[in-house]
This record gives sequence, structure tokens and C-alpha cells, in this order.
Amino acid sequence: MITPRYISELLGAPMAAVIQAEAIAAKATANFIKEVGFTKATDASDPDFGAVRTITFSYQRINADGTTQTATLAIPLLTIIPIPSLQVAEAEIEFDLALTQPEVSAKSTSGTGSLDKTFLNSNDVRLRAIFGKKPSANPNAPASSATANMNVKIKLAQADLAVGMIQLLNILDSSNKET
Amino acid sequence: MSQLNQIIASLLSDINEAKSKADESSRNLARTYASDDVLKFFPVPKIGIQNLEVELKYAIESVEEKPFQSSQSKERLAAYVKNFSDDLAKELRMELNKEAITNELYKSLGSYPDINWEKNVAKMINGELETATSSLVDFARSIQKVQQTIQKAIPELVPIVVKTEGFAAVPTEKGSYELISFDKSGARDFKVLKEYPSEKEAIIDANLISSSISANKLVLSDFSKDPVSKLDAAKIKAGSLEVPIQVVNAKAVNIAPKVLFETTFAEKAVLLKNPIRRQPWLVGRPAAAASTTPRPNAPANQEEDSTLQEIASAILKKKMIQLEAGISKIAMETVSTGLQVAVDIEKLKLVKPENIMTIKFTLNSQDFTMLDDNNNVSIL
Repeated sequence: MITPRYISELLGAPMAAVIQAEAIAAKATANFIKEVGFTKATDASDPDFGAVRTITFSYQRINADGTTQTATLAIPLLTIIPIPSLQVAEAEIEFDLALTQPEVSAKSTSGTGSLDKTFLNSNDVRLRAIFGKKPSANPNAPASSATANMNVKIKLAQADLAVGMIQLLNILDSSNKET
Repeated sequence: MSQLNQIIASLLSDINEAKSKADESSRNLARTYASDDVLKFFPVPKIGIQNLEVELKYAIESVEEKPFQSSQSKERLAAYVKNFSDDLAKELRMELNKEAITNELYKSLGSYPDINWEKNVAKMINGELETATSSLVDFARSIQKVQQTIQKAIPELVPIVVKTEGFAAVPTEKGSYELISFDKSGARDFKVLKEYPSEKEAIIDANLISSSISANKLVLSDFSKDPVSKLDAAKIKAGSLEVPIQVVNAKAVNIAPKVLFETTFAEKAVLLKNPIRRQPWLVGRPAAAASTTPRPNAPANQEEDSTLQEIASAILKKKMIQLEAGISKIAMETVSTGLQVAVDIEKLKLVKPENIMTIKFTLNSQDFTMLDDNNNVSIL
């Protein structure tokens, strides 16, 4: 029997997974850049990455006076091969849940402010669920314990960075420069 | 079994928590990205919920109605109770006064009850009702108790008349009692010119006079006629009792006071010897419904007339029904309805498919964004 989990965990897990998946993809891109675009031979000027990996080739160049000259050209490899970079533009998550008996706990009275206490005087309910089977299209079909009674569809998209996140990134960036 | 509002509140709270988990994941990644030479140039993955649809199947187990008393509804209830108390006291006063004016037995009460009586009664009723309706839970029983309390107070608040054969001790507007003689038709005949502090003393005198009349031992003397009011007066001696008497209404025919009183007492002697049997079939009223009842622990010839008290009881009964309806209306308006629902699949399995309801709600990106007064994304 699968242990029922809080709905927040069941909803949060796929959303966090999307973010983590994107981070893994970004990490792969970063690794690709490191490995393909740079040599591993590090020196004092480039302690981490080493030198930019280039493609060097020579060719016969015809000068203006008609004479030929052997020329050598070094091009960074990264500029001529496509860098695999993926970003989740939009994600849709849909799942069915079978809810279990709600947990009822005494409500803390703090935070209700000036609202009429008798109106909001109720206990907190926490819902737990397990992933369930999609209910049968036939309404008369008997439900089993694994038949879902809740369907959730979440549509996700890249979000603009929140003000707080931008501030955090700026701090981290400046602290890097300072060291 | 939980209320539907709690279930939805829990779901919304879970959605918020889920979103915060995703944001937390982004925050941790932001740190990792910043510390990586290449990743620091990459945008940190951060997702926003564009749309979220939830469809939940549930079964209604019961509908629960709970009264909730806000300060506003309490004020309304208090105002209603106050108005009701005033109205009831006013109606009692009006009806009692109407009866006192027309009923021969109560005429000595004059303009009773006065405005102070009305105010005090209203205050008493309001006091009782205020306590009873402080909680709307089981208010019908509380109102019933108040009705019983007021009913018990009526004998103290409304006077009665005690009657013996041909005489009655009637209350007066001064708070005393007077002894009135009634003729065979029930009209006021003469009164004893003496103030009695209670009906008991008046009845003792009435019995003395009656027994003297029956034994033909009553002595009449000092006949006179008031020159202004034209009312005949005399003095009677019945055993040790010697009191002045006066006719209640001036006689149209000019008869000498002596003749008048002698005739009156002769008629009274006949009446006393042959009392009218007030059989239910004679008065057209079943014994149980009669307004006169034999006095407990009193001689058989004594009876009480509680017409005024009966009027008060009838008004109280009628008005209390109105009060119950009125309060029930207020209670209905201040009731919160909650659906007790089952959402767990184990219970839903036992419910017939046609009894399963579905609630569907959609949240969009705006619902996950805090906006300031100008509808811009808040920096908070």
C-alpha cells in the first residue's frame, strides 16, 4: 500500500521536478561548453577552464598582386558547433488523486485578525492522497480504492525572475567579483 | 466528515505550499548557478503557474446549520426583544383598561393600569427575555420558560375580584379594596363606604352583612341624600359592624332613601335565601372555562373572578407565539450553512454514483501574484 502524502507534496514534487530537470539540462549545457569549448590544460591565466579550444587550419590565400600565401586561421570551436541548450517553455502536469480520510486538527486562533471568530471557528483540515486510477467513463462503474476522485491539471511556464531573486543574484554576482 | 469550505481551504493552502516548494527549489538552484562559472550566465529555472485546474469529487453527508451571533445580529435581536416587550406591555394595558371600564366588577379601578404599570411590566418582560435570548440555541424552550415566568407573575400584576353571595370585594385604583353589593342582574347596587387594605377584610364584612340580612337582623339608620350627587346614603348595623353605605348610581325615580334601602335589602334577603344557581347550562359556559373559580381554602360561597388575569394570560399566549416566530426569523437569517462532505475514496465507494458531486475550480497566474493597489506586481 502506498503511503498517502499531503496534497502539497504531491503537487509540489512535479513542479520542483520540472525546475530540477531544467537545471540538469543547463548543467549539461555548461559541461558541454566546458568540455568542448576549452582545453583542460589549465595555466595561471585560466585556472579553471584552460585555453579556448580552437580549430586551426591553413589555406592558400591569393594576394592582390596575384601571388599566393599560406594563411593560418584559428576559430573557437564553440562558435561553429551548435550548443545544446534546452529550456522548458511550458509544461503541463495532469494527475489523478484518490483522497484519504482528512486529518482534522484544532485550529490555532492566531492570524484571524478582527474577523468574526465564530464565523471562522472551525478546525484545520489536511488532506492526504495517493495517486489513483482515472475514474471510468461509465458513471455506474463501481469505484475501487485506487480510483481517483480528484483531478489536477497544472500548466507551467517560465516565470520572470521575482524582484527578490534578482536581488539575490546581484549579491551573489558582486560577491564573486569581490573575491 | 469535514465541511466543504475546510476541504477547499486545505486544497488552496496545499497549492500555495506546493508553489513555495517549487520556488524553494529555484532559490537553491540560484546559489548553485551563481557559484558556477558557466551556469552563472544561464537564467535560473523558475516556473510560474499559468493555470491550475482542480476537479474534486465528493459526497454530501449532511447539511449543518449553525447559528452564529455577530454583534450586529445581537443588536438586532435586542432591539426586537425591546420592541416586543413594549408592545406586549402596551397591549396588556390597553386590553385590561378596556375591560376594567366596562366590567362592573372592575369599574372601581378607574383608568387602571396606568403608564407606570406599562413601563414597569415592559421592563420586567424585557429583562426576562434578554437573558433567555442571549443564546439562539434552543431559544424556543427559553421563550417557553419566560412565558411560564411571566404567567406566574400575572396574579401579582393583575388584580382579581372575590365574590360572595351578592357582594364582591373589588380592587380600586388607590390599591385598596371596597365592598360592593350587586343586585340580581349583576349591576352595582350600593357600596360600603370603607377602605379595606385587602379583600379578606372586605369579605369578612360581607359575610357579616349577609348573615344579618338572612337572619333579618340588619338595622338600617341615618338615611340621607347627598344634595350634589343625589346619591342615597344610610348606615347599616350588622352585629358588631356599623358602617355607612351609599348607592352607586343615583336612581332616576325620586324615592325616599329609607324606602329605597328597605326595598334593596328585602330583595337581597330573597336572593340570599334563594341564590341563583350559576349552572354551566344557564350561563352557557363550561365550568372549566368559567372565569370564576371557587377560592382554595375558603368557604363554598366564595369565588374568584379572574377576568383581567385571563385576558392578560390570553394576550401573553398570543404574543409569545409571535415572539417565537420573530426570533426564529432572526435566527434563520443569522445561520451559517455548512456542508459536511466526504472526500476520501473509501467513503465515496459506498456512495451511489448519482450522489457524488463534483467541484471544479481554476486558478490562473494572477492568483499566484501579489498585486499592489495599482495592479502592479508587488515587491513584497
